[in-house]
Amino acid sequence: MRLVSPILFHILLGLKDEPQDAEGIVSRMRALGQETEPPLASFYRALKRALDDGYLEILEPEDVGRRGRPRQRYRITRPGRTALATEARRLGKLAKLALGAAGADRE
Amino acid sequence: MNEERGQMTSLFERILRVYPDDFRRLFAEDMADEFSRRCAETYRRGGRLFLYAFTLRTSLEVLVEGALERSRSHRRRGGARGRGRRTFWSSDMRTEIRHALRSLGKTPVFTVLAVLTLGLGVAVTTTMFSLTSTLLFAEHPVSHPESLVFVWGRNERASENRAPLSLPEVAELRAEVASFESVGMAVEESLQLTSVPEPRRVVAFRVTDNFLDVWGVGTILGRGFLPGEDRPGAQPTLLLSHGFWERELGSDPKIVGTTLDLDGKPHVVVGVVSPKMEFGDISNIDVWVPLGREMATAKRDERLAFAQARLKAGVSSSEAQKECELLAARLGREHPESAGWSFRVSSVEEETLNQDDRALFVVLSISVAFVLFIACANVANMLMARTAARSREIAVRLALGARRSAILRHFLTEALLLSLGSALVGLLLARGLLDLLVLITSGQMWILRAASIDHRVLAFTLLIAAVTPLFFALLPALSASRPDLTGSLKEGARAGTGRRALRSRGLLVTAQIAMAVSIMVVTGLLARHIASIKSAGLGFDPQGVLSVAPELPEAKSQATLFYRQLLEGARATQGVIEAALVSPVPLAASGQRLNFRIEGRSVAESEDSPSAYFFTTGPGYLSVMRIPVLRGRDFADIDDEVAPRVALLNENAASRFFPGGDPIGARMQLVREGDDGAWIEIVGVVGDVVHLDENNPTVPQIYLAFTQSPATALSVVARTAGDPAALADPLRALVLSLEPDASVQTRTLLELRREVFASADGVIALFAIFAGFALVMAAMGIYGVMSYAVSQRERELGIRMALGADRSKVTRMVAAQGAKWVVVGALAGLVGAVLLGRVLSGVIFGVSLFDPPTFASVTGILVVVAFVSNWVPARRATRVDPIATLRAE
Repeated sequence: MRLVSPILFHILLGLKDEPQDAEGIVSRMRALGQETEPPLASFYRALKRALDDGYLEILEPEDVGRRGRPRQRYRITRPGRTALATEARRLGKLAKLALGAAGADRE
Repeated sequence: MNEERGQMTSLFERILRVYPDDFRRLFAEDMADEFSRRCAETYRRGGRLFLYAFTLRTSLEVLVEGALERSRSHRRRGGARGRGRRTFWSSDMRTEIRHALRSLGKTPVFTVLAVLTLGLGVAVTTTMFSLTSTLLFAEHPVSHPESLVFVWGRNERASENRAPLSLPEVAELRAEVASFESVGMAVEESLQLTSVPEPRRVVAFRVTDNFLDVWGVGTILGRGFLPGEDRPGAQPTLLLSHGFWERELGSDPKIVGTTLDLDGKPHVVVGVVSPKMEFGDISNIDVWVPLGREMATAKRDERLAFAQARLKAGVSSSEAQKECELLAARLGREHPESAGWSFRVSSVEEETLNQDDRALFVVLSISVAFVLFIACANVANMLMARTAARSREIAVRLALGARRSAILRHFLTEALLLSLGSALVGLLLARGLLDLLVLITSGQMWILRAASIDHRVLAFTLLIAAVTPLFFALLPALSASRPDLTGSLKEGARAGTGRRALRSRGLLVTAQIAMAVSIMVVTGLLARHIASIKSAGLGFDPQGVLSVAPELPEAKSQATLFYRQLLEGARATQGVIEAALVSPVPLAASGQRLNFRIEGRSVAESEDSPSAYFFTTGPGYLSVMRIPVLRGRDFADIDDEVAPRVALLNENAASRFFPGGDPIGARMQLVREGDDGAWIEIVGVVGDVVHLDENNPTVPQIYLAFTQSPATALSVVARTAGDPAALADPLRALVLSLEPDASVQTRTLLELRREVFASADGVIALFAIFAGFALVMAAMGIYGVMSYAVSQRERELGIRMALGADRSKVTRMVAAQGAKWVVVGALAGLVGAVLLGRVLSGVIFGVSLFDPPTFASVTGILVVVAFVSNWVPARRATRVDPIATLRAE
């Protein structure tokens, strides 16, 4: 399994509950505490990577976009969920380590 | 904002093409949507500046990412064919780009300066290209432009070659010139539109029924004119221009079949002309109406018709020209009014860009190339200084076994990124420049309004961005990858490659100065030429004068009583110092060109009867306009209907028709149908007034008294005590109180002057912008190189100072080096300016091409700027602390 980059991690996280379009993913990222929007090109590079690896799939459009066209929506797949969970566990371990270390410092 | 966002998004969509096809199929639309959303949000957060910065940043990012994505997709496909083969777009390239971005990021001041400098160069080049491309590639409104020709009247004695034709002449062209398949014509008129809530004047083209067919343009609603619809007595119909239909009638789709009243007569709307027909001067036309009069029996001396013709298949325009000349010769023999007149057949191409315009374009393009070169030279100089400073790093890399090609590639990648950045800056600036030019010319030049940043301009800018690094980066990169290894690695070694590098940089500076001087001199010559026409050439004082042009319903257009009352009322209006009647107002039109006979002279067979531009006016006019009476007298109240007819000549007419003699007391007779043929006595000679045709500023002009030679459309000119525009409303009210159905146009003469010179101002503004850029960048160049030279000689100067050299002597010595470049560059620039001036010899008149004030002032400005940018680093040389220098030894 490929390494999940931070931006991909956020994309997968944003899609965990329901399919979203790009704007929806970005606003979920915001809601989860990301202060700045990811650079446009990097964001789509990550989407492409995720599609290539089978983490995401594209749904038939539903909403009409700002420029009058329907906006493409993305849904997380089973391998995507696995990758998200694996990365979350890895991050969790790291977080625990870091917090533990910080706790040791305090003591 | 929405429009701006739309433009940014469409620019962004084009940039997205850098991605490979499969990526674009998946994401292009989505990315554009997302970009558009972020644009709106960025604008809301920080306004226009933020929006530009966001667009710039995102575009750069997409360019780099797109190229990388392409390389990945290439690798994937390549991988299927032969795994492991490395290509140009391989991961090396990715590393290279990252490395270059990082190294540029480490020197932000250099990066920003270089991008801005190049960006300026790219901006002017892009602006110029966008104008050129509008001219050259503008979609021709006509189908088969190669077979469409314009037919103008030509009169060599009167130096006319773009005169309109008379209606009978058009009829004869139709009947007798076999080269023409069809001939159409239009007469511009102003008509009163009354069946709308606010009656007003509209600009109309009275045309033959085949006019649109000759142009090969159709209608977008309804139909064109039918054959025979232009005959007198036919039911009045009209076509709407697309702009008028859109603007004034809210694009009403049911307009066809309704009726509009023009000059009190109902006209049936039969169609809306295609928007293709809106270009050049034709874009002013509101409505098209059929001619409605007999062509063959119209007056021959009324030259009003703009004629176009379609050539028969296989016939060239020169064959048509020959046939037209034969016809003209016969007409000249048969009709005295046609004597001396011939036809000139010109192609669409010649009409779009005449010889003078072409010369201007050539010189503008050369100037643009110069500006771009100057920008490149500056960046080259900056890069050389930068590579000199990095020579140790490079030497280390080479010593550790890096290949020379790798070093070269690194520098070229950096340069390519710089020039991509500058291309984006240049595009944004170019858009701003176009807007600025529209503003300067108050929207009078259609080409500026039509010019835009389209895909062609974009492609051109990217090409420039790809090619310029070869000019500004190749030399520094080559010299950087061949450093003196042992020298550079020694501790404390001086940066740079010494005198050789300095010499090549000096050469660049000399070339920059030469080019800047050339552009500045040409700008100066053009500006002086326009200024000379503007001020001295007008022949009257436009300051404080208001013109009031009442347009009467047709039935009353000869109302002498109305004009008398109007004049009296105007003179009595508070704030008016003096007022007079005239037709036409100078600058608004040129006056009607009429032939006349001089008493006691017979016109030889070979000669034409003399002709001049006629104005109709009355007492007080010369004084309102401050036109001097040179001999004889002005019109007076005694010159009324019953008095003998009198006329005034301008100086040009006096010297042309009475060389060496005195015209006062001589008598002349008008050659014009409908004139009573009475003798007119010349009673005065007055100053010349500018003629609208810029290539021919002084022409013979004759003034007649309106009481004796009634004119159809007189205007009031009033000299006012304060701001003339403030009197527009009272005078408009005066006209309406005398004739409620009239419409009124008021303009100050200064406004008229501004409109007339708008295109000239546009060209001057373009040149001035180029010259300004050139000067600033040349100054930056001198400053940079001199600073470099001083830093090179720091040790030597320190020793000199330590040994007791005089401060001012050291400054002078250092400055002398820069001065040498400035002098050589300026001299070369003057030679270049003379050569460019030659190209413009047809355009510039009234100013010598060797105009000493222009040459002197330009050289003066440059020398001052150059010496300041030279002196500052030179002064710094003397601040070198000798102790510190010696300690370092």
